[in-house]
Parts: sequence; C-alpha cells; structure tokens
Amino acid sequence: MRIRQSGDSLLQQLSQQLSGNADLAQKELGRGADGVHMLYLKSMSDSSIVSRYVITPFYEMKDILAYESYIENYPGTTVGKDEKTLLENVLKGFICLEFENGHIYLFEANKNESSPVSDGQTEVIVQGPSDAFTENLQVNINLIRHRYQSEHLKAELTVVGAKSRTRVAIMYDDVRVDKAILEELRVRLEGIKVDLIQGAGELDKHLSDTKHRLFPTVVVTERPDRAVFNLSEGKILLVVDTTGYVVILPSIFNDYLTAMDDKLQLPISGWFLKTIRYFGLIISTILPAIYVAFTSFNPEVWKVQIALLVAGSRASVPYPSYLEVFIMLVLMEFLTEASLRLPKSIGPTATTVGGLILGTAATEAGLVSNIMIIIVSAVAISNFVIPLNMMMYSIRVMKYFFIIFAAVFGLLGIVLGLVGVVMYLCSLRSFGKPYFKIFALDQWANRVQGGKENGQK
Amino acid sequence: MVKNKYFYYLFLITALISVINYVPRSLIDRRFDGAMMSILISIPIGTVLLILFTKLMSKFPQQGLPEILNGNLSGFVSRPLLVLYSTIWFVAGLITILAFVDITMRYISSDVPSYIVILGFLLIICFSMRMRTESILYGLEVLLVLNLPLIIYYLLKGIFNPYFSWDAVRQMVTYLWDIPHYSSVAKSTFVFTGYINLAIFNRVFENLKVRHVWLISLTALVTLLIAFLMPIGFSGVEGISKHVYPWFTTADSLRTKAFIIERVLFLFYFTYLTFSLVSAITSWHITLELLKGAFQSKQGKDQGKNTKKVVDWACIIIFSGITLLMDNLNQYTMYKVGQIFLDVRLIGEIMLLATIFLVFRKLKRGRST
Amino acid sequence: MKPTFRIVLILVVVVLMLPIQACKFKDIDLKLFVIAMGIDVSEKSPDKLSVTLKIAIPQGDPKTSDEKVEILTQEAVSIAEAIREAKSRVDKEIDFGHCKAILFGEAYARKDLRGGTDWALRRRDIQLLNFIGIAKPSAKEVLTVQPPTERIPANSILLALSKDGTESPFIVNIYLYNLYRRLQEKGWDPVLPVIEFQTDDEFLINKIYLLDKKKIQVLLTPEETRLFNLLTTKDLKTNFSFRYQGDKMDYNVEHSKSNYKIQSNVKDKSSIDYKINITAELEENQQELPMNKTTLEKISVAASEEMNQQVEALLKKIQKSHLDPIGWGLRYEATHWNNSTEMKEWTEMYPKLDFKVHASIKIHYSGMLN
Repeated sequence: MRIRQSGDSLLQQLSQQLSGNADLAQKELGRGADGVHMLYLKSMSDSSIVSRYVITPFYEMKDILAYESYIENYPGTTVGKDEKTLLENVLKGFICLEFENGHIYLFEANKNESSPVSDGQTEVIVQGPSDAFTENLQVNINLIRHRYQSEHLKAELTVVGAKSRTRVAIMYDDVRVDKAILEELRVRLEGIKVDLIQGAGELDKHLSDTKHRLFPTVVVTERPDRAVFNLSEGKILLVVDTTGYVVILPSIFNDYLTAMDDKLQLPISGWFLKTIRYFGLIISTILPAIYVAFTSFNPEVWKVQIALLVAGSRASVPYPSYLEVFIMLVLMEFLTEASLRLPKSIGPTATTVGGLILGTAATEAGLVSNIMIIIVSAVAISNFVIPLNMMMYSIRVMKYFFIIFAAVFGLLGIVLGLVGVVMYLCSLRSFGKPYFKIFALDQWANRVQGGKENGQK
Repeated sequence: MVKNKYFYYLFLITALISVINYVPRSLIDRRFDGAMMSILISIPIGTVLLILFTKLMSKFPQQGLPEILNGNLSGFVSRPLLVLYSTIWFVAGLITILAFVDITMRYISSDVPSYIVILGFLLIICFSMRMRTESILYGLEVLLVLNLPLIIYYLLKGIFNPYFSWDAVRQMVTYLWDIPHYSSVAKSTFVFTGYINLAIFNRVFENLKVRHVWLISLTALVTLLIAFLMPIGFSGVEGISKHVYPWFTTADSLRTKAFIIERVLFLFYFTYLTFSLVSAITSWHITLELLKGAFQSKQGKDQGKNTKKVVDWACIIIFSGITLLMDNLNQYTMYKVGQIFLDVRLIGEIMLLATIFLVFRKLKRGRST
Repeated sequence: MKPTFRIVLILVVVVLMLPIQACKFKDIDLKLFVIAMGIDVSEKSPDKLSVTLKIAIPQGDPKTSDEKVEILTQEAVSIAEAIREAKSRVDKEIDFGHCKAILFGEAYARKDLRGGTDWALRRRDIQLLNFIGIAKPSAKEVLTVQPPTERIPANSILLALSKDGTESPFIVNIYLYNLYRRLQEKGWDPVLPVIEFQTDDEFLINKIYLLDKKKIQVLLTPEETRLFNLLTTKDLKTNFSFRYQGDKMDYNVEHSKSNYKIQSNVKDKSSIDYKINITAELEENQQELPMNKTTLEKISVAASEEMNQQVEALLKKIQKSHLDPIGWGLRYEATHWNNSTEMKEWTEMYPKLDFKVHASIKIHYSGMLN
C-alpha cells in the first residue's frame, strides 16, 4: 500500500511504460474522491469479468469504501506494491485499480486462451487415461493434484525466461524427493538466462550439465499418469506453462523405454512388452551395421545359407554395402519426416508411394538387394517401438554411428561401438544421478518405501 | 559412492580376462610340471593377499593409493612409487589389448591392417578411461551382467558336449602331485588380482566390507580349473600344446544349432572382446589416476585442473604410441612379455601391499604418540 | 573437454579411416565360398597333390531351387600352392570361411594325411568344425556327386556327416579338431568315415577306417562300424538282427549305453570288461512267433549272447591291428598315477589283453503285435 504522491502516480508511470500499446485500456470510474482509475490490457483480460465484477459493482454500490473492501477481498486480488509487480501483473492480465486514497489493487481478470483438455497425441496408450496436459498451468496442476491427493505434494512457482516470463511450477512429493536434487534444480533454474521458453524440451537443454548430448537426460511427457507415477517415485516435475508438456527429472535410461501400458498390464505381459522394446532398440541401432559388417568383412560368421542368399541378392548392386545402407536409410528418414509433416489426409499416400513402390522398384532395378529392403523396414518399424519421442530421435541418429564403425572395422567395430555407447551412457548423469545402471536399485528402494507408507509388507 | 557388489565385479572381470592374458597357456606349457598343484597352492595365497589388501584399504576409507601415499609420505618417495606401480597396470592393459588384437587379426578381421584394429581399440579405451571412477564401475557391471549368461552357456555347452574327453581331464588330474614352479603359481594367482584395483577404486567405496570370501576363493578355483582343463578336454593332453590360443581353439570346437551363428567361436569372441575392452579400460584408468596423483601439484585448484588435463593428454599419446610400437613384436616375444609380466606381477602386488602396510603403521604410530 | 566433443572427435577419426579401409575389403558378392574340399594324390605324378574345391555359386533369385556349383581341380606340389594356382583360374576371391568338409582321397590317406591336417589347422580361416572323411576312390569323384535332394552345394555330405539330417548308425562323424587331438594323443587313435562314390547322384557312407598316427590302416565293415558306434555313443539309433530258434528277428534300440573297465590288478590276466545295456523293442519277427513275457525274456537272452560274440570279435580285430580307436590307453593312463611308467605298462599289456563282453539286452516291448 502506498500513498500517492502528487504528479507521478504509479499508475501514470505504468501507463507511460505501456504507452503505444493498442490494447491498453485506461478508464476513470466516478469522479473526485469517489473515483477509481483503472488500467489493463484488453487482450489479456477477460472483458466479461471486467464488466461484471469490476464496473457493474462500482455503480451498484454507492459507497466507495464498500467497493474498496469488495475489491480487496475478492479472491485473487493482491495489493500493488511497486512498479515492477504492477507491470508484471498487468502484462499477465490483471486489472490495476487505483483509488483516490492512493491504494492500488490488482484484480485478477486474466483471460486464458488454451486448448481444452484433450487426448494425448504423442504418447498414445491402449487402455488407461487418455487425457493430456494442456497449455494452461492451472489446468495441469489440477490434473496432477487430482491424481495425487497427498498433503506431501508441493508446488512452487518460479518464472523462467526474461521475455516470455514463462511460469514454471516445481512439483514434488515432500517426503520422497531427494532434497539435494531439489536444491540443485532451484540453483539451475535461477541460472537460466534466456529470452524465451517455448517448449518443455527446451528447458531440458538449459538444465542439464552438457548441452550437446546424444541422449536426453530428462523425460518430457504429455501424460499426467506418467507424471504422477514418477512423482510417486520421488521425482520432480516441472510443469511449464504454455507448453502442454511436463518435464520429469532426474531420469534414467529405463524411463524412456517404459510406456504407461506396462503398468496397466499383468506383470508378465508388462515385462514381455518391455523386453520387446529393448529388443527393438537393439535391432534398430545395430541391424544395418550388422549387414554392412557381414557383407563386407565377415561373411563366414553366419550360416552358409544366409551367406549365399545375401551374395545372390547383392550380385547386381553396383556399390559397396555401406553406401547401399546409407542410401536406403536416408530415403527412409525422408519418408518418415515427410509423412510426419504432411497433412493427415496425404500422409498415407506418401508412405505407400515411397515405401512400397520405391522399395519394390529399387530391388527390381537391382540398385539395392532384397535383404536390404527387409532390414530397412525392420529398422523403421522397430524404431517406432520406443515410447518416448526424444529417445526415438536419439536412436535414429545412433544407428549411423554404428554403420560408420562397421564400415571401418567390420563386426569388431560393432562391438567396439556397443562398448563405447555403454560406457558413454554410464558416464552420463541426470542431476547427479547415474543415468544408466543395469539394476535400477535406487528407484526400487523408493518403491519399497512407498509400499511401507501404504501399509504393505 | 557405490555399493560393495562392485568389488566382486572387479574380481570377476580379472578372473575372466585371465583366459586372454596367457594364464591357461602358461599353465598348459607346464602341465606335466606341476600346473595342477600350483592351481591348488594359488588359492590360499590369493585368498590371503585379497583379505590383507581389502582390510588395509578399508583403513583408508574413500582414499586411493595417490592420496594414501602423497598424504603420508614425502613427495620424493611417493611420486616415484606411484609411477612405478602405475606401470604394472599399464602393462596389464597393454598385454590384454595386444593379445586381443592378435586374436582379432587371426579370427575376425584378417583383411584389416593391424594398426587400424589397434586404433579402434585405443579410441574406445582412451575415450572411456578418462571417465569418472563410478561410471567405469557402472559400465563394468552392465557389460559383465549382460555377458554372464553367455559365459554360462559356453561352459554348459562345452561340458555336456559328447566329444569332451573326460579321460584326458582325468589323465591331467593324475599329474597333481608334481612340484610346482614359482612362475606357474604366480600365473595362477592372477585370477585373484582383481582386488588390487582397489588402489584407485577404493575412492568410491563408502565402507568396503568384503563378505563371502569363500565364494571368491571358490570362484577362483573353478575358473582356474575350467580355464586349464576345458581346453585339454577338447584338444587332448598332448595336442593342446600345439594351439596358440587354447581357449579360442576350444570355442571353435563348439557348434550350435540354436542361433543364426553356427560357430560358438564368434559368440565367444564377442564376449571376450567386451571383457578385454572393459578390463583394459579399468587398468588404464588406474594408471591414469596414479599418474595424475604422481604429477599433481599441491597448489591452487585451477592449476591442478590444468595439470590433470595435460597428464590426460600426455597419457593418451604415450599409451597409444607404446601400443602401436609394441604391435611390431612377433607372437613369441609377445608371449614372453606376457609371461614375464605375470611373474613380476605377484611380486609387485606383495610390494604394494607392504608399502600400504608401512604407511598404515607409520600413521598408527603417529597417532599413538 | 566435454564428452560430446570426444564423441565427435572419435567419429571424425573413424570417418577419416574409411578411405583407407574402403579399398581393403571385398564385398560378399566378390567372394566364392568353398563348401567342401578334397585332397588327392595326383594321378599323373605321385609327388604332386591334386586339390579339388567345391564352390557354391550364389543365386540371384532364391525361389529357383536349382543349385549352381563349380568344381575346381588343381594339381601342385603342395596344398597351399594348388590353392594359389586355383585362384588365378576364377574371377572372384576364394573364401574358406564356409568350408565345412575336407575329404582325403584314399590313396592320399594311405600315404600320410598329416600334411593335409596340418595345413587345415594352420589356416586361420578354416574352421575346426570341418568334417573329415576318407573319399573312395578319390576325393574328386566324391565331390562331383550331386544328389537330387540337394539345394546347397555339398550340403548332402554335410547333413549326412553331421547327423543333422539322416541319423544313420553306420556313420561316425569326426571333426577336424577331433582328428588332430587323436593324432597327437598317446593312447587314442583316430578313426575316419569312408565316403564312397556310387553313381553320379549317390554316395554311400557306412564304413570307417582305423588310423595310426600317420595313415589309414584297417577298414571296418558296415556291421563292425555299427557295433563300434554302439560302443562309443550313447543311445545309438539303430536296429540289430539276431536268430532265435532258427527264426530271424530284428529289434530296434531305444536306449543304449556301454561302458568298460580295465582290469589290471592281476598280472598277465588283465582284461577289458565291457558292459552294454540296451533296451529295445521288437521290430521284425519273420516267422510270426507268438510273443509273451517269457518269450520276450528268452529272445532277449538270445540277442544278448549274439551281441556278446559280435562285439568280442570286433574288439579282437581291433586288438590285432595294434590300434586304439576307443582310447583304452588314455583311460589306463587316466586311472593310474605313475605317470612316467604307465604308458610303457600299457603298450606291453595291450596285445595280451583279454576282452570280456557282457551285453544285457532287454527287449521289453513286442511292437504293435503280440
């Protein structure tokens, strides 16, 4: 609360700073001692709220004091303290009300343009909740709170981005969370010096230790159930406003191969699904490399039938095996990219023309071998088995490393590459936690603790 | 900080890698000359050394050899000692790499020039050896656990093979009472040597307690017996000495119908390729850390970081250079070098043990007065 | 330095290696795979060898089943030389990585087969899992056999020898490593199967040769080969015929097991005691003798006695040849701890040994008829 000084009221300063905005609205209600100055941004504030809860009551109530106490006690109203908070809140869509006695209030009337809660698009699930996070922070927090009704669930608000002023809610289970990681996260959030945060994935880039990594170290999800599941494991959620996604951290490699289906199925089917996914991961990374190594270096490794088959189908191919693989894989990448970006109605056509016709024609013409087509499609399909998008892209890039290694060293190169990748994964840390361990025991310990809390043995 | 289980992995990788490091072949060379007995003798010796070393290291919690020596001895003593000990690990890694490059040249990539194969090995090893100590342990765990089922598969496949000659094995056992030589005892104790890696890895163990020492001894005994007798069961008591790599000959004698790969040799090769890479990474990581300890300045932190980087790069260049130079040795010289290393190693280990014990006693006396 | 930079560095180095590498390797379509090879003594000059390679030619279209094969015969003074010379007769690189069988011509094996064995073991690309056999009359002729059921060149020989396909009781399969260890071992001599040329699309494998440490010595008949197999393998799949009161009968072996003990405690009365246990079922009963529990027992006894005689005759024949194809000598060594003298004892003892065979055949099932 500040007493107005003649000449340079806060409101006037504010209107000077915001001058030149076409959507700036300044109004005077009443006259003299009973008057109220009003300032807001038309685009950010809900005009029906303005007329119904601000303007109409002013004229209905005769007494200015009664009106002031109405405004003061209206839920969401805060007292304007200084210029900075005023500016920030007006930009968010608050209405700034200045009474003649110098009191300044910020009346919450912000308009939120966000898509309603809709079905998930990027992580589809068969059985289970299909709602996804929206672009609205409040709605997202609401979605999480609904599923995790515990007094331990905490939500802290911070703002990231000098220009975008994106609100980020840090949510965690007070009991299960690792306090050291929380502290580390706060420090790192403070340290982010960027203008804009437009997507949750971007936050990941700024948060982690090394910028250029091959693998993502935080999970970005649009599924509230995944977020809540991780919350119960003691992880921290960053609910980023306006993005529609939530960041989960710290994460381990295994998280990227977990689909929420695994938890819903019977345990054995769940394990089976997970095994299948790891299998798909391995196939899509090393199958093309194996083809290169096999045809160019070590044809004696496989059975003679396979050797003769490959030799026969490669007989008309005019270039070395690694070029053959590169050409086909790059074509496949084009195809995937094209069908992603195309409008949904044209997508299937592109796939058919590209995949079926091109593949058949290429083999008929003798430019690539039959086996190669099988391998390329196997790689493409098995790549889509990975549930989280970011990991899928990492794996797509990875396979080229293996092809290069295989083209230089043969089968030896594939094993060298595998050992190298395992070592690299082990060297990664997600907020100080080891990223890749074969027995994720820490996570297990958390689950056991959760069981204890719930009175299980 | 890591759990105690990683100690067992360190032990296991060394026990398994002994197949590459000429241990079975040296034993086979002396098979009529006390090899059987030296296997039995090596078990108590190795166990005692292991217990003593782990007990001593647990007196210095979360400290590696450089901290122990630099902290308690003057620089003139500790630095040369660190350099000296680092050579043991360096040679261990070097022999593993060179032996495996030789095997690769024979079985997998005869078309590829050997220096390219070595460069491939060096790329991965030099990249990985500079990682954090914990990370190396995690990697070791992953690769070991993934490969163990395969190892068990080979063993079962071998032992239940109808062509496995138990008579040849029994004939070998009848040579039990021959008097062993020092060198074959030294070679047999190599399976235990994993414990010595604590010299650096002790840094990351919170509170090292080695339980179930009998299990380690038993594993070592079984490993040695299998490493020594399995090739004999496949290639005969007499014929085995003709083969340069007895274990790869044995793997080549196994055929499987279950995979698209028909020859077990290739599966075995891949398993051991990962093992030898990991083993070389751990050995050279220790060498690197010891050398860093030896050349560490006791000044400001920034400068320390800089020297570390210099030591890192110097080590990478020197290690790679030596490895590439050693590639010119022929197979007999290589074998000889491996033999000498295995013999010297045991003495080196006992010396290291004695050094740490002396430091410990000095520390204790210093405390009591 | 950041790890990512290291990765980029590694990749750059590897990519730089690519041009050095790319000209070195030969793609699979530039290779010719030898599936089987044979070694003979040259017919023209006895000092020369004649090496036959059976090479598979890959087919572009896997749907057409006709196999194409090239048989290359080259004469030279040594095997290595012959292969070098053969290389200049073909357009692609000859690859031995898939060589699965090495056949020695009978004439070559009669002279000395150690040279061929040594060559095969020394070559790094030749598997130790090669099947070895004696080809009769010559390796070249056997390799030209093309059975109509074959889809991959030489596959029929491999299937027969590996027992993956047919499981004939007359076939003994010997891998290269097995031959070599028996050539080296004291107290264990090699045996090799004989592959005979019949017609252009048929061969016959039903005999074995006993070898000493250098060359082939004694040929066993098919009947003896089967008994030899019975003594050395467990659960041999075969049938044996016998006579019972003038009636010819056949039984099919379900389980078989044979083991032996060397009795050497009493001097000059040492013996090898064989125990053969067979459970079997009646397969053929030519005069339709009615079966019941007691007759089954009786015919079992009759079968056992006949087995005893046959096995004893075989063992005597082996003993007379002074060879040790079953490894009795090694067993003797393995069970005796006087390592310096045991071999001498054994060589003195072996010619004087007595054989006691105790076969117990149990025909426990009379088939679908009584």
